Amino acid sequence: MLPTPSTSHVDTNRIYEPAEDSFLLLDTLSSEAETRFLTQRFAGHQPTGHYDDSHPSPLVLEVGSGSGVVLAFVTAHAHAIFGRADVIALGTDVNTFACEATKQTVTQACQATKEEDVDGAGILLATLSADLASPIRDGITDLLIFNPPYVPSPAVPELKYFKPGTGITDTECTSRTFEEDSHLLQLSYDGGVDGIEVTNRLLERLPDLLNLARGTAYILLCAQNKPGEIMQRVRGWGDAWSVAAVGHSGKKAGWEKLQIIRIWRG
Amino acid sequence: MKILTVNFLTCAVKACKTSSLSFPLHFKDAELEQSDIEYNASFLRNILPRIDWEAFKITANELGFTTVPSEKPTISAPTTDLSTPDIVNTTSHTEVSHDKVMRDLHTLLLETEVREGKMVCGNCGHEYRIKEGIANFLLPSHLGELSPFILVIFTLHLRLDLQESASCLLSSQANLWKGSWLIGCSLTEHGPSEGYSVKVHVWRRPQMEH
Repeated sequence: MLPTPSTSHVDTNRIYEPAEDSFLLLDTLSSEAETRFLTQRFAGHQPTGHYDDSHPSPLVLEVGSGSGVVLAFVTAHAHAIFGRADVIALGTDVNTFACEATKQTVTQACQATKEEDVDGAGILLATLSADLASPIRDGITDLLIFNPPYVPSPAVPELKYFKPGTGITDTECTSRTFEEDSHLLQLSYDGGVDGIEVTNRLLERLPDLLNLARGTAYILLCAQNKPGEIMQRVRGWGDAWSVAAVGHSGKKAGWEKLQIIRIWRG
Repeated sequence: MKILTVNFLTCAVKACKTSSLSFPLHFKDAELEQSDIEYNASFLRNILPRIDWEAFKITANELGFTTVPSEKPTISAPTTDLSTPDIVNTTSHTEVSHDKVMRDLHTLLLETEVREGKMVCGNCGHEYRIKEGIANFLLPSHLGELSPFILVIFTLHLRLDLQESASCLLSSQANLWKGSWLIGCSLTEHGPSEGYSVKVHVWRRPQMEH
């Protein structure tokens, strides 16, 4: 069992707290089957030990990184998960507080790994406040992880922008802060009709975002997102793409039943 | 935000993505800070193939680093295990200078962070703020600040009895332009007999990913 990154510094009044879905991602990414898949896919050098220019450092992007627990887990345990530690990581979130939290979670977790094994962890490049992967160049992402807002809701809330550090402290403006916090949390849950509107926007760009040789994505879905239909749609992208359900948990009949699908080239 | 990051970024505006001017984004008023990361030759060697060198040279130059080699350093392939820091242990002159180049790159790519400043798109001119090391790529419609996209502002003075036809006119215009244009107005009442003035804003709808 790889240790779960510490998120004790995360303010869960305004940032999605690691929950069953986050832990399902950790369990799936560190499962024997997935580490075998990832290690083979990202093998850094051929068995002879030759340096291979066509297998550079994997770039990991987590979209909507929240507390940062998943990105920290993957980056800090890069050697265990990918069979190589030279992983470079990026995180995005619409919530600037989440960007700050992710940065701290990943940095701390990598530091903890380095105390055991100096070359065991990857490097966090940046966390960016962004809508999905909007500022990320096409074709550079090797591994994309997305735990979306998947709860069915009448609509996806429109993003209101609240600037941290405006000088308005909690005590001076409690009600506004509470409203802001609720809004930020709502953004991390509400997925619109069937809980799939935000995921659909990411899926539309996914074939462009992912690297043509190594691109792989892990996306978490709940039963009401109709995972079967989504997998069918991915199969429609053509023979270059594959999709498989690689992890699940939760109540058998309830809508909260969670699933993780892996989408990859090849 | 590490300097290397900008090599993987482009403008968040969808229409800019096809323009070569949107990459790399250009740093403006950047405040830098150094972090301390242990030099790892094989890590750096595996990052190098990922880097768009022309774009990186532009970035480095804008930040005042003028010693970046004009060509991407060629990687001397180790014949033994990758983890052996073979470059460091050699003594020949070229390899020593190669090691210096690699260490300088390590410092610039992985240890140098942009703490404050802006990144500017060369195509649309949009400026993305970097604050406390976190860049903000949320676009104006998200921010509720539409000013960068306002094209026209004009004021109409209306007689009281024309108020209704004016709002009809405005909504028909809005319909005509819907798609890439937005129209909005604010109404000021001047007094019971003096009518209204209407300030009209017309702006381009920010093009985002859908």
